[in-house]
Amino acid sequence: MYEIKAIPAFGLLVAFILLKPVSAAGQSYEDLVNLFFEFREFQQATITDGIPDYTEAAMQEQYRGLVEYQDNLAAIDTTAWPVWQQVDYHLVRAEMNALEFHHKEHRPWARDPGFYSMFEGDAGASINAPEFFQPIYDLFGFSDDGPEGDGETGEESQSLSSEQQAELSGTLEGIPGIYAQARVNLTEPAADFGEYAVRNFVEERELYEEAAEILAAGYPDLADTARRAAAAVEDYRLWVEANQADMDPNAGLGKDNYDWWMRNVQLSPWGWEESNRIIEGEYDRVITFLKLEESRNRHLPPLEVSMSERAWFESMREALHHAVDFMRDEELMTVEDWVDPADYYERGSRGASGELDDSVAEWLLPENSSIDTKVRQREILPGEVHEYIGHMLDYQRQERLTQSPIRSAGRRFNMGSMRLEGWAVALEELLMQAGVLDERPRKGREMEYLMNASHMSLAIPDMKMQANEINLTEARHLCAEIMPRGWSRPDERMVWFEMQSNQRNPGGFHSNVVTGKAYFMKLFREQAQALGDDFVIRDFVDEFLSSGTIPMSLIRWEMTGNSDDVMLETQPL
Amino acid sequence: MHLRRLASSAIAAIRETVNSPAQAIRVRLPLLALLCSGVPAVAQASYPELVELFLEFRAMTGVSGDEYGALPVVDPVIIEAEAIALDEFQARLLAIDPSAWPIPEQVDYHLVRAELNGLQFRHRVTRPWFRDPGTYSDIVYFLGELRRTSPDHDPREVLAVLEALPDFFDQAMVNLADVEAIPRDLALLAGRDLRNGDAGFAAMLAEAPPDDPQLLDAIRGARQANAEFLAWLETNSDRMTAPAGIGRENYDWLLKNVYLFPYNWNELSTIVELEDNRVRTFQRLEENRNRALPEVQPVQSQEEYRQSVADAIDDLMNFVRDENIFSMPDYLTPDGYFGSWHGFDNPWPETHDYFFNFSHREPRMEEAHEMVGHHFDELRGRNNTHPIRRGWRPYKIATARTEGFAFALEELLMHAGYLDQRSPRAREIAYEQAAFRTVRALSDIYMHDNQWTLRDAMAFSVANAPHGELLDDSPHLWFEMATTLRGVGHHMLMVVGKVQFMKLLRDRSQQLGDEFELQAFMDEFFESGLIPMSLIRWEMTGMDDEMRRLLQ
Repeated sequence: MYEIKAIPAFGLLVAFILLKPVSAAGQSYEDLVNLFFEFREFQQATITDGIPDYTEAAMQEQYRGLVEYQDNLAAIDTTAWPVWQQVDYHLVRAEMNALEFHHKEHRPWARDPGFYSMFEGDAGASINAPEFFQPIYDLFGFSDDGPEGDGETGEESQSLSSEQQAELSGTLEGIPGIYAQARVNLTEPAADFGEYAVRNFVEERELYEEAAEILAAGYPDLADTARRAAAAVEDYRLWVEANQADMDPNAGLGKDNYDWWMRNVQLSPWGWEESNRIIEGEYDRVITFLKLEESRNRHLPPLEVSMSERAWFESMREALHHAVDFMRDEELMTVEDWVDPADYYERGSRGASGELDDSVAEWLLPENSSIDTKVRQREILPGEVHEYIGHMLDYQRQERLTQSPIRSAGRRFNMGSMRLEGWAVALEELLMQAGVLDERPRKGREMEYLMNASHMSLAIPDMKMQANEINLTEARHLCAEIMPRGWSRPDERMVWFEMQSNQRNPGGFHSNVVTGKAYFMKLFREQAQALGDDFVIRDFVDEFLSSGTIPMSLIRWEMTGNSDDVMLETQPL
Repeated sequence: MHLRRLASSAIAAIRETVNSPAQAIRVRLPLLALLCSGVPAVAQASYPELVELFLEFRAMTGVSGDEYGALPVVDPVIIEAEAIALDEFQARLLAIDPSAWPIPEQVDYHLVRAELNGLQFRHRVTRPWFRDPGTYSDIVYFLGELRRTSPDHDPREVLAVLEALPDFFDQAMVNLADVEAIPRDLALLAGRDLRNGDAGFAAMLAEAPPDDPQLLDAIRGARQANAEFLAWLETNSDRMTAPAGIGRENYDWLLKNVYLFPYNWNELSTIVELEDNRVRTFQRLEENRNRALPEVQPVQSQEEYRQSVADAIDDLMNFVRDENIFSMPDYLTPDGYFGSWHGFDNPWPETHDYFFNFSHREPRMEEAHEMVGHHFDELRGRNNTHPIRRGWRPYKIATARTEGFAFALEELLMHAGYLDQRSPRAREIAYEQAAFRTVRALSDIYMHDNQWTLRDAMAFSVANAPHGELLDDSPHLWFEMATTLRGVGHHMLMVVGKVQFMKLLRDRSQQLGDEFELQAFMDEFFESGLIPMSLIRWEMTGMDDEMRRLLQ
């Protein structure tokens, strides 16, 4: 569902890094930019004895450094700055708040066994040491942030320079040490986090095994080291499994912490109670609309179901071109010349550039397909509009927004997820209300509501896990229980993965998806009301998107001049 | 309910909104009997005792929903006696332990409890007799509406009321002597009615039969008394500075104990704002979708209007039946409804009141609200033989159910397809109507939190309602603002009641899975009667989370 997750534009970062200790800040915007990139560098793990250091001592040291950064940031007086620069200031402040929260409450290095992974993504915090892991990424042809990128698996017969061999050897030899350290650092692990780790580290181990295979022919010593790394991962995995029963049954950090995170990191005006109300209310509404739509359509023939790759990709291609034309013709968004849906359907893991198969595809069989696939097999437009117009165009557009180096560096800690996912999810239903499905089989509207319901089937368990009202197992079952038509199952991969995104992130994940859409409509309504007859949807959408993928309340500030949704002073934690 | 419906149920509507009139004479005997006999403690009370208590209470307060035209009781001695009797009723109720009863009987217990609490709130907080000049000006408003909507009525029908007015207003000035306790906004509303009333009495005089001196004297006396009361109000208006909102704490008490509402002020302000955001967004998207289509032209004459309403009613009846939305017992007919408030026989005015801006372009949403919602609910209430649940509930106990449901129909039937054969612009109008209702709900919650005065709320509504320029100073605006300021929570209940209806549908559909059927759900929903949504949900689903919260 949320396949495009990479943090973009890492390259820009390099240009701004200042390799020196915390510098006393000046008062200009450039000083803020410098401080920010210095802070990004600072967040990376210290390498001690060849491995990333998350020991208690190292974390205390990092916390002391963080306080200095926060002091330096506080010393900057932004009152005379233009709003967009003030917004950037608060982006930096919120990121520091996130790290503060990690130290004081979340403590993933002490609570989350899955933290000790090379994979960065939105499924939880992990070791922040890109340079350390880079030789492995290079081996597999991954991008900066690991397998979540669009990398292809590396060639079997790579030739490595002696320098590359040395670097790779250093990394691989460090792996057992990481897991030895992890056992010490994990002083208060949570059982649900352990459960994900036990599953996830199968893949992590397999990756080292695969590395060993790649290296076996040309570099047998390195292959041995890779095998030892794989064994260390597996030992660790078994250790986590063996200790799970003694782990903390409460992985969530509670409502108060959720409030703090949402208000001080995601800069949302909505804490746990408000977010929960929004999600429950949206679910009530969507189920009601679904049932009424079903009643309306009950005499219509069933939708055709795509069962082959050809049917799937052809319907995708047709739907995306239709949606983009629709947005242009209906004046919902400026569609620039560079916009081309082929960027989406001819690329990526399910690209359609090659020969398309007419036979029944395994992954389209009912027993193999998730809710996201099932709805798309019947009406592909809303889901692929989410991915293409919602996400891919968003990233392509971000690359063209160059005013702010801070924004171009992307947001860490899911800080922008209400904006990223809220926009993409809003498109699903709002384009339908605007008419994008009008010429298509009407039962397709039910598919939109079902997709919509699936967001809530993920968000409701998210809220309850954050509040420790339910645990992971209960959450997976709840998710399946509240998904209409039995289209989700407690044990399927999607449910596991999405529950992980929810639970391993402070502030959750799918709750942001739903509240982000609600915030989009809030901003839409406010502007429509403020501008009255002068309100033009396309101008609104263009302006909204041009702020970048930052917290919605900051977009509102830029757009309306009103900052009252932003917690401007960090609350004590 | 709208202004026009006052034509058919004027006093009942006013009474439900503001005061408990018409209990005048009846109140004395049972009340005195009660006070003399004392109240025996009831051990192991049974359900029949609850019914008995309820019927006695109703005998005292006189809420039956179908009586007309009397002046409210404003004698402080009787009001005080009612408060004392209420304490006794509450003690009796408290002595009944329903926890082992079946859920439907427990629901009845909480209905009775809510009703007692409703009266308690009136005595403790709104105190209309001592705090709201509108308690006394309502009758003047009513007389004006009667003239306007039933121009052919016999003026002698109101002779007794006219003759009683001078004493009634004398009592008003006594009861309202603590002028500092009177909110400026309530004085403003009452003053407006009294001022309009003067012209109304003048017209009555001109229209009255010249050979009926008793009637002429009565009108003159009433007009004089009206003028004196207005003068008194204006003389003292500078000192009437109390806030009109009841404040958040009282609002929360009312929600929890009378409306049996599982939300507090904070939560429902979020709910209303979210609905506002959504319907506004949908409205703009519909507008955009339809932008190349011709505008829908409003009807231009009573004849056209009458025909459009007749067609809409036919369509709605067929739609509900053919689409199996809910079962239609024989008594659910438009008989007695068509034309009951539409004013088909009135001259076609030059300027129409605000809401006609919607219904003259597409009447289906309005008719869904008024007929499929209210009229059918009234018929169901009338056909309900349950000793406690039949008829209507006072004190707005069921407003979330009746208004929330009627409002829900406007949009929800659209998703079920009732506008499919109409201009796509009808959908746009449906969302305009919805956006106007959220504007009114916001006025309710912010006025009662005393963040906004009446003037603030009116200015907000004009600025933010679709076609707000038509709303400015319209009778509709004045009426609806008064409705929600004096009938605390009215418009909020309409919007949140819709949200509660969707919650119920979701809970039930989740519970039944593939077995869920819309028609069965709706029938079951109606079966519970016109009671708070939280009680319907408890009875239908067995889910007790809301009740547990309400009883904390």
